Amino acid sequence: MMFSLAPQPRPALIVRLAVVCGLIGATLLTAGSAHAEDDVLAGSPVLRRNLQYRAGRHEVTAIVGFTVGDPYIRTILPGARYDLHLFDWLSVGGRLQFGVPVQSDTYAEIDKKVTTQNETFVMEATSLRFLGLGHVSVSPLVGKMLAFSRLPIQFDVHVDLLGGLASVASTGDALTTGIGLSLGAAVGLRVFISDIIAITTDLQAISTDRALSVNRDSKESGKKLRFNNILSFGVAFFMPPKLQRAD
Amino acid sequence: MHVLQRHSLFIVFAAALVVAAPSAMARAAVSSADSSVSSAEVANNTGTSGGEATAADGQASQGGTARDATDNGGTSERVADEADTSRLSPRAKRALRRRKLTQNLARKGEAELRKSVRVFQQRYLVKGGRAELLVGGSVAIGDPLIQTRNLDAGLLIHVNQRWAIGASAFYSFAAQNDAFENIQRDFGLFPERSLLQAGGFLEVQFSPIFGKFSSFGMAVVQMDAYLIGAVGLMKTTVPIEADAALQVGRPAWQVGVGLRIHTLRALTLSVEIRDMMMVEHFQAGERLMQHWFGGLKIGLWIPPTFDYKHQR
Repeated sequence: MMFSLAPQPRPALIVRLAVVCGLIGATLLTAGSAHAEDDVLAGSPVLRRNLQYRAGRHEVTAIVGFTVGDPYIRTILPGARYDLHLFDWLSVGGRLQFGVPVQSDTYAEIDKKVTTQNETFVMEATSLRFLGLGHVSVSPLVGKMLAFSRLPIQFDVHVDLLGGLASVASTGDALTTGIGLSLGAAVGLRVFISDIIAITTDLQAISTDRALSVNRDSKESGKKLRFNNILSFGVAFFMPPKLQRAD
Repeated sequence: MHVLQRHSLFIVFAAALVVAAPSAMARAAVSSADSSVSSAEVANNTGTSGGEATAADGQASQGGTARDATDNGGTSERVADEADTSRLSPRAKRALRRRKLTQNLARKGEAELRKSVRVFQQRYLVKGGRAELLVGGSVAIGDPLIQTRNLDAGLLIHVNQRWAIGASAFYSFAAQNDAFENIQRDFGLFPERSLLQAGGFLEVQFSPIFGKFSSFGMAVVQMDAYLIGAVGLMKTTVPIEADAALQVGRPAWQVGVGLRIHTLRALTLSVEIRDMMMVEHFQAGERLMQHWFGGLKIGLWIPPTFDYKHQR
């Protein structure tokens, strides 16, 4: 079996998200024209006097994130997120998350097996130490659901564009660590369980310039720009409690 | 006899005129009162002082005078109507009062009826008794060493609005990613691989949540969220010589959640997350494997149209 020494390009999550968003957008456009054909209220506004759960409100969210797909060290990222909702569909804000590294089984297995061949080998790998990111968030999909025929639920799907700083940590001294510029995107779901409390989940992809681990000679290997996938869950609190109503 | 007959006919005709004239006058008075009621109601609807006018009308119908109506904020037309009413005979007044009472009762009855009527929106979509043919794709989430993409297909029979049963299958395009190759290159280790090849499942779906959403007010799109449970077989690249039956496929099961977006009446777009589980037989021993997949499917309703039945 032949192996290429050149680093293999990894498909970015952003591209996949863009494809999904494109499909949903196309679906909405198609649905709009389809409804207009057989709707006796064709031409009238689709929504009137709807409650706006975001417009003009502050949102503070306690979040905890988990990196997805890290082979050696998984990172748990507790933190907080703030959003100022300028409109019902647009908000600006930021987030701070601190990384708690958790070694994977693969890390322990490599450490054990390579040490039997090279006694001086010490396994090292990088993880995310903290994230300080600002974001612009757009909520293109807003709706409501009825669960079990009795529980009304408001929800929205939002897309975030992220930019800021990310710090990389290491389990040893051989790998480059430090703070660097980070860009990324996220897609998330916000489910309101009351007028002021919502449950959130986000999948974000942020870039960091880092090597994953050392090689068997304890030298840094494969340092490059990587996208880190983070799945986050949170509880959001909205203020003021009173909701605005659209025209 | 002829004279007597003519006289009796004349008497009957005259009597009929005497009887009919007051009721005709009363009808004329009532119609003018009706017009004032209508104007009062219109004023009430437009948010002016119509409420006071209606109160005046109520008092006038119970024998109030023109002065009463004016004191209660009635219009000059109403005062004129009341003045006309005061010139009626007592019998015409009684008829007018009966008519007004009847109208008030009818108005109250209609208001009560409106309170009791509920409007049920028709279902946008009837799923029960229809089949859904699905095709799509999915990608593995969270596997750090293997990258897997699946081609998915399935057929669901929707038993009713909430429950569906069916079959699904996938064909995998799996390959080791750069992290896997780094382990081989950087550490000289060769992990045993288990690449998914194909699988087939019998599945059940339950839809507890129905809803709708819009995007910037462009359109309202219906959707439902569902839970998935399935059992079946999955085939991987790890050979098992000990048991020939397992060569066909390992017993596997899956759970998941999905969101079905009803786009056109005949088409759906489903977003799903599934956790496919199986026990893999590695050389080092058996191990529970969890394959998380995120997927997108397009569904075609069979038949594409349906007859709507009102909900009971």
